[in-house]
Amino acid sequence: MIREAPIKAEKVASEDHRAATFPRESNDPEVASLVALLGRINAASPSLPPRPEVVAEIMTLMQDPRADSMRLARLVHGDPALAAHVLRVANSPAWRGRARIVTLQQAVARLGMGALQEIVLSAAIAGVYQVKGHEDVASNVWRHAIGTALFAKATARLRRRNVESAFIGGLLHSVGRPVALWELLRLIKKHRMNCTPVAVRSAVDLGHERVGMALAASWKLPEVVQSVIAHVADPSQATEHQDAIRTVAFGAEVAHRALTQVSGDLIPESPEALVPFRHSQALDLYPNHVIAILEQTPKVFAAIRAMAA
Amino acid sequence: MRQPLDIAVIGGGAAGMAAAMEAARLGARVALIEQRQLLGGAAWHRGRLPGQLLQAAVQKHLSVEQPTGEHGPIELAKLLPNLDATRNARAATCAAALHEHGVLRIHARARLLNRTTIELTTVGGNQHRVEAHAIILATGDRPRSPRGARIDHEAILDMGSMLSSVYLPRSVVVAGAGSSACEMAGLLAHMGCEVTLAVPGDRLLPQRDRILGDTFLATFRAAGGTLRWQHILTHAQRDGRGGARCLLTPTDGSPAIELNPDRVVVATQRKASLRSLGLDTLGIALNGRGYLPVGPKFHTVVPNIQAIGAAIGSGNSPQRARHQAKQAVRFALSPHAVDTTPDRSFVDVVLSVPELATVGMPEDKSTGSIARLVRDADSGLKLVMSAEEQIIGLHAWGAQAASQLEKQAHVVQDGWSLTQLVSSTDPSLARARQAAELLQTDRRSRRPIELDPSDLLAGVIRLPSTGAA
Repeated sequence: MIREAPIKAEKVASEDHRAATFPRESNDPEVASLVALLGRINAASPSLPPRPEVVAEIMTLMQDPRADSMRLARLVHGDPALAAHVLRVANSPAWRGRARIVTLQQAVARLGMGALQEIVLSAAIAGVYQVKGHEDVASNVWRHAIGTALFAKATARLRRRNVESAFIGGLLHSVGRPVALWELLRLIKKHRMNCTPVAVRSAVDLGHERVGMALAASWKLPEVVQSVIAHVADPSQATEHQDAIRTVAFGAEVAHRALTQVSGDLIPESPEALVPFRHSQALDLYPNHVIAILEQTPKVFAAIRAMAA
Repeated sequence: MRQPLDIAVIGGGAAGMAAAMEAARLGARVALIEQRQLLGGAAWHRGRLPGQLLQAAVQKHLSVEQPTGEHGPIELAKLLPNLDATRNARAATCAAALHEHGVLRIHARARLLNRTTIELTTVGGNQHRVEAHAIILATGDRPRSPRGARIDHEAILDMGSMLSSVYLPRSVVVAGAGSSACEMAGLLAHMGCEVTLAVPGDRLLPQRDRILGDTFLATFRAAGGTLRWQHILTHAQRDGRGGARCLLTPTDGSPAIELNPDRVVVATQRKASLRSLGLDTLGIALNGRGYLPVGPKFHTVVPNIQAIGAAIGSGNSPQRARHQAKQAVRFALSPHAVDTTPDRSFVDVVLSVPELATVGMPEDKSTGSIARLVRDADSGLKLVMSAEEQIIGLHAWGAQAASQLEKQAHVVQDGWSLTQLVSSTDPSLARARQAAELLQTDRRSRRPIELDPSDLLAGVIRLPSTGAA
């Protein structure tokens, strides 16, 4: 039985699955006007954040397993803040061994380049999830994204599918949310609009996917990741990559529940008492499969704490 | 469900579908239990279909001139267009066929409680029970990790996880000698990957005629692939740089070779997919090859439980699975029935470039047989005749080899004689007829027939002087 305390349970609830159940249009004129503003964003919009250079580099490294660890070490060394973050994560309880890691070379040797790439990628993307004045909301979205990536990866492995698309797709599935929020705040300020926080939040819920898709196209992310961002709220609408999209959607659902429930309620005493997940059936995940994935929760929590610190 | 079923079929692939529909057609009360939502079988959804799409993509890739120089990583999904749409369409067709035949379809996982009671667990966790007089296991097979190489679906892959990768690897070690290994190694080599094929024995495609293995070998080498004969994958794990580290150990006891490819694809062994069925409690155990042993009427050691298809190790030929399904159903409904259907030979396909197809006996597995080969630059056909002048094998390669051979398979299935084939006017048999004519000529002149596999290794096929090449 897991007795792990939830991480910042109070705000995450609204950050992910509301989009799947909300109507895609709003009857509220204030919200509708904000959604319309988001609707103008496309891949060529200058206001979209540029792909962080480290993300471009790390995506290239992830595609090229022959790349040596020195290239990764050089990349991280070039950014002192990133290097400090990597060492902090490497020394966190989620990864730490008996001895303290003090150099990046030690981190590569201890964690392996694959894990280090994931840590560096998440650190590089984390910047996009920072929205000044709304740090709590953005931080919760980010924690949920990390949890989604890790649960989706565990799900893909259990189902004998390749795990790469699950991790990257999970990490980026909600990238449109902070960008949409940031963009709306910028436009509200620029046009001196008077909007309620509730309307802004509703508009983000309704319009973030389009923003995420624009960002994914602008960053030239792999096709499967673009499909995940576009359809994670409703995988049945996807014409391709359905399996990868459903895997991330399920990862998001598990992450959401893990982050908002007391762990004792998360994993029942028996499979029959398991509260159903919306996306588990489409993936043919039987109760024992779901429980095996939920049992990863302590490891995922440790990783979230380390990566989102 | 109070009244027992006549037959419960477990597994929704080609064999299970055929068994359920045949039983319904014969008037039985039948249910098909499949744990996946998509009917059609994991072998087709995760192996055959993406394999066919990749094969088509490779053929297209080879037909256009490629730009020289370095290119970026290739997204695998872009090579497999309409994968989901095709999967869904196939599953819908299967579901409609079951409905039309009046088969009860149950989406649940089955566990046998005793010889007639099946416990069903739905994907939502609800449990039910059904009773059946006869049970047919058609659960297919699945890859198994060799000792020392745990498949992690990240760097150490099976066929399914390879075909669901985001990018094509730049270098790969494929372990195995069968059709899956050859398909994957060949297609990746043609796409420009650096491929090493580790073969445990001294030949490829050992169950098939040697000409097919040799033809594959010639094209694989021409595409830049490397062979390691008599090397066994003894260790594989993810390495510290995001790639893989593997050891290939020669069977002669020489020191192992260490390789560091991007990915390792394990295609060496498979076993019956029977997890959670609870067969051990009924005394049903796997044989040494990892498959369910069955008698001539497909019965396991429990008389009312039969097994068919890939679960008994008969490969993934859908035609063979359907044939077995029909036979098994007849025996299930009439245990004392005598099988009057003749032994059939079915077309087996290797989805490589060129495509390889075979029906009937390989030349070297039939004493006294003789063979003749006809070919052109891109395709060929080998005809094998028994000492009694009966056609016993056809082995073809080239684009559409499988569909071509499907049209000619009846020659082997119906046991045609050489004379019968020569006198046929069926245009689809033109090439087989040509081979038969040459054989007849050879027989009359008592000329020896020489096919030297070593020529194939160099990518050249030499034919006897009167050959049709």
